[in-house]
Order: sequence, then C-alpha cells, then structure tokens
Amino acid sequence: MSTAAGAGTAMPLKRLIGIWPVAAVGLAMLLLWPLIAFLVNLPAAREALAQGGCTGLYACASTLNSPILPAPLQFLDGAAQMLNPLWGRSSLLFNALYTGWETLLGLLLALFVSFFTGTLLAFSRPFERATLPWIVASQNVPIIALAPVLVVLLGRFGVQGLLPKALISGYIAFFALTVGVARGLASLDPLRLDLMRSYCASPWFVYWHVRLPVALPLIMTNLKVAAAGALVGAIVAELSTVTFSGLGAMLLARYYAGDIIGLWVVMAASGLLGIALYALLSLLERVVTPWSPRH
Amino acid sequence: MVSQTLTLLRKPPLAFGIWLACTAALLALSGPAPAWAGTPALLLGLAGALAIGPLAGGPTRRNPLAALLPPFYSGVLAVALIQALLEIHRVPSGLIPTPLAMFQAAWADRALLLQDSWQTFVLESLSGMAVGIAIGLALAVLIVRVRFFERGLLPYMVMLASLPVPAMAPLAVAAAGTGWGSKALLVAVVTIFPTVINGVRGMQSASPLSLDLLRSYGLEGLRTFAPLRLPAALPFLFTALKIDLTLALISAIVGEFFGSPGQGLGFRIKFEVSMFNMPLVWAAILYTTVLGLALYALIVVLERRLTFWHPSMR
Amino acid sequence: MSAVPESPPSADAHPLVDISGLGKHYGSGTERHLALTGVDLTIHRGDFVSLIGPSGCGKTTLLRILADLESITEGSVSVGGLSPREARMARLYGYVFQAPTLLDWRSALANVMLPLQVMGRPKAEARKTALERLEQVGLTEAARRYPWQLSGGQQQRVSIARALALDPELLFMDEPFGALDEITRERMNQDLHDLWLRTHKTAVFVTHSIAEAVFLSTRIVVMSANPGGITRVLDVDLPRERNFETRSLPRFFELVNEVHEGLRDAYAV
Repeated sequence: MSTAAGAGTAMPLKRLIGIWPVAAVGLAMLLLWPLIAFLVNLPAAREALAQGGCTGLYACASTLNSPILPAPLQFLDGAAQMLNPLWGRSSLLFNALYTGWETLLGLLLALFVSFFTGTLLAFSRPFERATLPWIVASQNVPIIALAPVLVVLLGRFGVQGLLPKALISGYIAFFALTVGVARGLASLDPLRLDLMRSYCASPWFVYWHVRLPVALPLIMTNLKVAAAGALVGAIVAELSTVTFSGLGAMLLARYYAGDIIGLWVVMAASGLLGIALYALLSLLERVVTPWSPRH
Repeated sequence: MVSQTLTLLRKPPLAFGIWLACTAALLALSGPAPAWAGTPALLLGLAGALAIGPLAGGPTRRNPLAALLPPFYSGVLAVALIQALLEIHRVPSGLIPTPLAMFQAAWADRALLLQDSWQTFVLESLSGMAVGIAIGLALAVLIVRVRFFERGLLPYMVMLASLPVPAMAPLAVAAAGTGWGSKALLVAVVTIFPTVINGVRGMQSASPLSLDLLRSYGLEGLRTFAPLRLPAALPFLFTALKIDLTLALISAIVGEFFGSPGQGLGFRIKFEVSMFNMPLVWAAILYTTVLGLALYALIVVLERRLTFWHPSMR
Repeated sequence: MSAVPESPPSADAHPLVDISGLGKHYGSGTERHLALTGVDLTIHRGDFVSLIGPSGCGKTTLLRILADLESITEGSVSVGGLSPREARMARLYGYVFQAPTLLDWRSALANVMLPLQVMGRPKAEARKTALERLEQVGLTEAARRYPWQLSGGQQQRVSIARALALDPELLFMDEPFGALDEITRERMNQDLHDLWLRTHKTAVFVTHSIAEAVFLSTRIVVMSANPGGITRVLDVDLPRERNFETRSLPRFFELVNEVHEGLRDAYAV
C-alpha cells in the first residue's frame, strides 16, 4: 500500500547515487581521450613533424588535417563549424532533423501496414504458418542489402524526395513490427479468454478491450527496436540516392572530402538522433500504456 | 451434394493438386507470355494462395518438416507468380530481373559470388565477430565483478549500442583503409555492445539462492563463473549471438558500400546496381540471404543443444 | 440432516443446478482420458457447495462444465432450468478464477465495470453499480488503483466484485484463495461468508483446503481421481451464520475429520 508513496520519496537519493559512477567513468573517458588520440595519431604526427608543418610531436598529433581520432578541441571545432549557420541547409541540426523525420514517417507507415499483417497473422493459422517463417527469416538477414535496389526501383517509378527514404526506412522496420503485433495479439492468457467467454463477449469487444491492450506494451517495445532499424534504413537510403539533405548525405560528402573530423561529428550526431528517437518513443509508450508500473 | 464437395475441397490432397496446378500453370504462362495473361496469372496466384490454406491449416504435426512445408508452398508460389507477372508485363531485366534470371546468374557467376561471400562472411563478419565477442565477454565479466563498472560503464554501453551502423562505416573505412580489415574492425566494434549488455544480464540471472548454495560450498567471486554464472548466461549469450550476426552482416555490407578492394557481396550489390546488371545484384542478395540464414540456423541448432534445460527451449 | 438449524428457505422442488449421469472424456481411442464419470448432484437455491478432492479428480472440470467453458460427453446438466450454454448466454452466473485475471490496463473500478460494458449498459449506470459492488467487498478506497497497486487478497476481492457485477444468481469460484497466505485466506473466508449471507447467492466453490470447505459450505462434495467422480456428499450441520468462534466448535473438528476420512477413501479408490 505504501510502496508507491515510498518509492516516490526514495527516488531522488537513489538517482544521485546512480549518477556518480556514470559521471566518474565519463570524466575518465574525457581525460583519456587526448591521450588515446595522441597514441593513435602518432605515426601520422611523426610524418607531419618530419615535413615540418608543426612544432612538437603532441602539437602535430592534435592539429592533423585528417587524424584517425581527432583531439577534443578539433572535434568541438568541427562540430561548431557544422552547426553554423544553425538552421542552414548544410547544418548538422537541420540534416539530423531531416533524417529523423524520414525515420518517423517510415515507422508510421510500417506501423500502419504491420497492423493489418499482424492481425491477419494472429487470426489466421494457415496464413501464419505460410508467411511468418519468411517474416522471421527476414529479420535475421541483412535486409539493408536491398536498399540500393529499392532506391533504383522507386526512382524509376518516379517516387522522389522524402518518400523513397521513408519507404525504405519503413520497409526495414516492418518485419520487426509485424512480429510484435502478431505475437502481442496472439498472446492471450487462457483464463482471460475464459472470462470473456463467460460474458459471451463479441470478438470485436475482445479485440478492442483485451487483445489490443495486452499487445500494446509488446508493440511499443518492438517499435523501439524497429526505430533503430528504421534509422539505419533511412541513412543507408540517403547514402544510395542522389540527395543533398540528411545525415547520410553528410556522411558521403565528408567521406569523399576525406574529412575524418567531420565523420566523427556526424557519427556522434547520428548516435544522438538514435537516442532522441528512443526517448521520444519511450515517452509515447508512457502515454499509450498509462497503466503500467513505473520503476 | 454441395456440402460433400465442400468437405472434399478442404482435404489436403485436392488442395495440394490445386496448388501444384496453379504453380505449374504460372510457370507455363511465363514462357510464351501473351500480354492478356496478366489477369489470369493474378487469379491463378490467388487460387494457389487459397489452396495453401487447407494445406497449412491442419492440426499441428510433430514432424519438424511439417512446419517447413507451408512456407515452402507460399515461397514457390510467390516465385512462380512473380516470374509470370514480370514476363507478361515485359519488365526489363535492368529494372527487376525475373527469379529465373536471378537463379541463372547465381549459378553462372558462382565463382565470383563465392569469392565475394568468403570476403563478406568469413574475412569480415566472422573474424570481426570473434574479436568483438571476446572483448564483449571480458567487459561483461568485469562489469559483473565490479559493481562500480555496472553503474558507471553499462549505461555507456547501452548508449553506444544505439549508434547506427552506417554512421560508423565511413569512419572505419577512412581510418583503416578499404581492405577487409576495416570492415572486420567495424564488425568487432559493433558486436561488442550487444554481447556486453546480454552477457551482463545473463550472468546476473543466476539466482541468489544458487549463489548462496555455492557460497555454502566455499565458492565465491570469480570461482562462481564456471559452475553457475556462465551456464546461466548461455541463453542470453545466444540471444546476443543472434543480434551480433545480424549486426555483423549489416556492418560488413554497409562498410563495403563505402569502400572495398573489388570484392564482397555489399560491394557487388552496390557496383552492379550502378551497371544496371540486376540479375547479378539479386543473385548477390540471394547469396547473402541463404548464407545468413544458414549461419542463423547453425546458431539455433547450437542453442538447442546447449540450452535444452532452459524453459524457453521446452 | 433434519437437525440443521435455521435451514435455508430453499426446499423448492426445482433445484437450481441439476446434474445427472454426467461424464466427460478427452481425446479418443487409445489416448482417451476419462476426466469425470457418473456424476449426479443437485444444488438448491441458497446452497454453498464446496467441491474438494485430490488433484485430477475433475473438480475444476465439473465447475467449468457448469459454466459452459467445457462441453460434456455424456449425461445431462441443467443450470437454472436451462442448458449450460443458455445459462451462459443469459449471464446466470459469475465466475471467479484461480488467478484474479484482472485486466492490467483497467483500474479496479473499470475492471468491475467490464461485464456491465459487455452488456452495453450506459457508462454512468455501470459506474454506479460497480462502485456498489466494490463497496460490498470493502474496497471503495481502492477503486482508482491499478491491479499492480493491489495486494493479492485485494485483487481477488476485485475479481469477486466483478463476478457479482451483473447480480447473478450463481457464483462459481475455482480455488479463489489458493494463492493467498493462511491469515489472509481466513479473513477472505469470513468476508466471503458474510457476503454470501447478505446477498442470498448460491455458490459452487472448488477448494483444496478442508477447513475452508467446512467453514464456508452448507454441503461438501468429496471427489476422487482416476476416473474423477463423487465419493461422498456431506451436509454441514453447523449454524448457518459462521464466525471466528465457529472454527473452535467441536462439531467443526468432527466435520473436518469426516471430510478427511472421505478424502482418504477417495485416495484408496
């Protein structure tokens, strides 16, 4: 009875204790970063020193044009340059949001289609037996290999702009989502089924009031997994099309320019985008499953 | 009379006959391929699909082969339908090749594709996975042993696990060259995180009571790993292995999109797409799929052998 | 039997539940398994009948047959003068399962409203009825809580309130307190008994506990396994109203012993 109230007051203290090892490890990594960067860049730094472009081995290692691992200041400098102007078409923020938007659009499409497929799978045994093995198998092969082909196909059929990338992103997400929807809708506690039977409840009532709420947490979990796949799909789609926006386009541009510092910055931005998507979906999860206990 | 016919229709032999006839008719249609045959082909496909219903709907048979039959029926029918539709509508093979053309390319260029597969699967994926899993396991033991690292390091591992592979790929290639080593490096880095996360979860899944039991025998600390923690972690490690395999193949292929010394399935796909040599592209995808599934099946077989005692296996 | 004090006003000619020659088997041929055979039983209005017996004696199966959750293979069953299927359609009974079987995404109140919603009652009316039922089981304050915020005993109370929601004549309960600790269980027994006295329901109650059966019942049906069937029916001639003192009456112990013997015979079969 008092557990719910008790947990509320104990939370902040527990969080503080939980944070300090994270902070300590983070600080250690920050301190180790210049050292590791120096060691990794040592061969290139020796060369630069021999050519006389810089003075001192350490100075050379932290001012290389294309270091394997940039020094912290180089990284920050690169990030600052790519965020300036903040809202320009070449800005990191704009492109990250662009990719994020593609991913969300793809997820939405995938969710829509997977509800149809998942419902069919959950209610038709023959359909499940004939198609689920294929869908599960698709989850375990690198579907991403199809992306270049899909790009060409969609291009031929005149699908342009944001849509082909959202489609590819959704295509990758579709398989994980369908399995989640199907498993969720099919996982009904037999006692609950008996309960609904004792009320002579209609199949529609059972679907809406029992099966769907049972499935929702599982679907949300799969949605978070699918989001990671969808993000990969969106970036690969951007790599494979002629496009000027999105993190994938930035990666290609930096790669061909040999700008390794830029690649590090874009990679960090992609990671942040992934975390942001995850956080967004976690928030959504709380909204659509308000009944589930919070720890 | 009508009801008798209906019950007969539900019997598998007739359904099998319909499925076979539809598939054969579709394959026959794809030869001469008159332009009006589009609608009949679709109807044949529909009839064949409906015939799979009774074939797949029977009571669950214990034979594991029986579980493979329905997907086999649907797969063969789908291939026949696609073959017929592509032939009938005369879709250029530079856009979508027919399945037959794909199989032909897969056979004709087998030397090339096998070499690509060796590069992608063995040199890049498996070797990278071996390194990544070894590092991941070592980190997992460290995290389980030292509470400080569980609090401090594990959150970073979870965060790093969410880094999208294609964002790391160009960096790996730019930093470590276009050879297979850069892809193996990428695979190694990518497979560390799922291994750590699942490994920690698994080693911590050993029940406190079992740990108390070992304590009563005088076993503590590192000595609990061999008899208890590692076996308890096995089911989780197999989960990690499956995730690792998928991630490894994605990494190797996307890495090859960026740079490769003219070899590898990812390189083949990217390169031949730009040449519009679609049959070979699809053949490369076929190799990727079949080999990927074979490796996955191998993991599943090993899992059944080694974790037969786990509730999820019964 | 004639010595039952304050006997229920139920000596009507038409029993509420009438079972005769009931048999139930699963599978066929060599894999045929006989779950119940030759079961005859009548239950009158106002009765509290407990089914007790070893695992596999078919007591749960018998209850599920009455509720039309299982079909019968021989004999006949009537519930309230109807077939079990018709009785289910008419919502003649409320069923309490072994586990509370609450819907996690609904508050206690919304869980009790569920059967009313199935019947399409207006929301305000359903809400009012559900609140009354929660009050009957003493859970008014917990109405807004979700199942995970309730203790095991409270969850089972919500489940009982839900079974009462449509005010059915019959209450079927399948080991509802099996998962509770002994102390909570005794408390629940007292509350269930009071509820039964107040509402004049007829109850069929499956249990593993002899003390529980004796305390709650007006009649105890002792069953045996392999094949499942009735070995003995005991009338419980304790005062109709039971309380804490009942458990220390000499007659209570005698009855416990009688059930015990009945069960021993059931094992010996």
